[in-house]
Amino acid sequence: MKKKLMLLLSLILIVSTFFAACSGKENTKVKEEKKEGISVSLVIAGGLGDRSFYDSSNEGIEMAKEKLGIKATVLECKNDPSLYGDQLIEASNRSDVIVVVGFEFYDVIQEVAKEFPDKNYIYIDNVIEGVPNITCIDYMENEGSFLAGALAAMATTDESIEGMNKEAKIGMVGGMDIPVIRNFQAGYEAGAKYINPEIKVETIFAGDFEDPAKGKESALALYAKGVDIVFQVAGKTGEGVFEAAKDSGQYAIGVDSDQRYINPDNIMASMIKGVGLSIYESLERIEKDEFKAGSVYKYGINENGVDLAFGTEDMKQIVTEDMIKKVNEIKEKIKKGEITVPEAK
Amino acid sequence: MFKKAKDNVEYLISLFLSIFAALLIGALIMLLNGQNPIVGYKALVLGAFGSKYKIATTFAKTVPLILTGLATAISFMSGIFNIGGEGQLYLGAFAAAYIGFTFTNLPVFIAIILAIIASALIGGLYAYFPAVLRVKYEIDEVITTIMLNSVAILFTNYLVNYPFQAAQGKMGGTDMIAEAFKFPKLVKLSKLNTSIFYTAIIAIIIYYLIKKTPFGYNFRIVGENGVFAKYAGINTKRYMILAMVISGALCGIAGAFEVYGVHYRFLQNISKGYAFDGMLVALIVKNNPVGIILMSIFFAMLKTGSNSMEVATGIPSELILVIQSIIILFIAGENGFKKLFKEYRLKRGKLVK
Repeated sequence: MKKKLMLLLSLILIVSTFFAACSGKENTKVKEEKKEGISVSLVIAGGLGDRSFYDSSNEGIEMAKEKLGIKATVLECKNDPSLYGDQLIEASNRSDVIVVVGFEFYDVIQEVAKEFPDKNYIYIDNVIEGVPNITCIDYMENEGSFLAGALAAMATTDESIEGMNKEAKIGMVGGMDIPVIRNFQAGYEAGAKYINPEIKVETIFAGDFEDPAKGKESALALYAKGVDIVFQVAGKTGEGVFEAAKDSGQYAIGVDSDQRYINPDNIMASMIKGVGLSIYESLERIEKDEFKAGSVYKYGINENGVDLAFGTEDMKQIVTEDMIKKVNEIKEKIKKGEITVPEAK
Repeated sequence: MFKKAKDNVEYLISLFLSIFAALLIGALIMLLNGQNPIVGYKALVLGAFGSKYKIATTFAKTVPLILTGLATAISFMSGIFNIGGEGQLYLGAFAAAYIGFTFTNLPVFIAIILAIIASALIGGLYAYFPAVLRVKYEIDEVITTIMLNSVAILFTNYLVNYPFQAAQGKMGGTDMIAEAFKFPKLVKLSKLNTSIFYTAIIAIIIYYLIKKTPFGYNFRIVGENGVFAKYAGINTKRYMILAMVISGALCGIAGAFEVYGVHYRFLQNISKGYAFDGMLVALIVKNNPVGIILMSIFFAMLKTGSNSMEVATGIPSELILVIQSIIILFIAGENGFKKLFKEYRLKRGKLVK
């Protein structure tokens, strides 16, 4: 018995080395073909597969790969703070441009960028000023959330939409009680109050960006309180919010990417943050030599950095035409400066 | 005495067998994914030890593992299970950070000593309550400590987002500790800092305590046979509480080192399960202090190397979690291994005759 086992294991080893020798060659071939354009590393604080923030940044990179012919690697930190520095240094050693996604890198990026002065860092989701090789992209989440809040406030009292009750109560599930998320919250509340000053906005912080179970729990708690629409700002945790919406036949609003496709019957709209777009535009600027390193690029409604998306045309709209029209009106007003959206501190 | 040595040899053999088997299964998984395991493992080892910076990064990762591993060892060997290391680490880290950014004018030496003492006190205190509940009222400490983790983590989350929010940059952390208090780095860019020396000192003290003093002997007796210990006149309750407090204090200190050596401020997710990793380390080597140090280095190597491996070869870094789990699984089945080993020796014995 044991001899057979040993034989089997050694056979496996031999076969494996053989295969490996073959496959190894193929790999290197593919790599050689792609050696054009600037080399870019995408370093993200969380992990890919959230169908939201980080995936959207990867879309920008993919687009740049296709259109600009850049060479790119993705380095995930999986929310492990002990990896932030390691992955950033690894990226700096590999590439000319490092796209850093996640407010969590605030300390690490300043430390590392100093050591690699000839590399360009594009920092998403936080603001650092005055470092010559760190360029920041700052999103006005509050402006996008304002639209989401306005839409939710209009829809929640409209009983022509199946499952809505009369109560003017809407909800939000935030990933963590941190400044970025509070900025969403501030915009959402202001947008809702702009439509209906009497409205109640209930917020629950799930305490996690990676735990759909917590998201579901939080959303169910909100629905039980008479909330019909929950705005999720919680990354992967938000998947649980969508599940809760489906289970209880209520509605949700997605975040960061256009998430309606996940469940078009319960997700009425998504507040999109143009992470991918802004990364692509920045890389394009670098290619064209128009890039202002060390500055802060603001992405608000004006720059198409944030918006409200209603899915693709083949999906049946949950909200009415009038509501969409009204949202567009508000958008124009924000662009013209007739409405100023409050910011959270 | 002789039997003990034989036990140890048998244990070591099964340990190495487990590691070997785990690596082999890891290789199989790589194969199934169409990757070359030899290239993969080479990238892993190079990623962990390939340059001065990489070696430093690997050793930097051992610090929290060794401390939490020792913490687990002390409590587990005394028969009281501290699963709350994570919470104690968070509170200890916060206490240390608080001293670092509040008393910025203190002399460096005093401030650091104060920070370490504060973190140890808070960590120990946080472990003291479940320990007392356990010995006085028989409330299961596994459940209380595991729940207290969430309490500590969420409480510190609140602290860093409201009362102690960093003045600069939105990041869910406290202010930085004073410049002078930061532990000096040993290798440029890496996270390796002087805390590794302090960790070594702590490890030696704990080793001495466990192996060479009657004190440590009593811990073991209490853990192995509480009834016997009681008849032998050992105050079991006192020893259990003490083990828990030392364990909590070590976790607290691990938190302090993370703040002073690595992040220079308290971050709301400062540890991604260090205490649990440390627990695995201690379980694998059966609470042996020397084993904890070696196994911590092995775990750190896997962790540092896996990321380089992922970038270099495309093999997902999660593979090391599989390897770690398999090692634990095999160690749990160690008795089975021993039996196999014995049978083999018996057979060989007959052949010789």
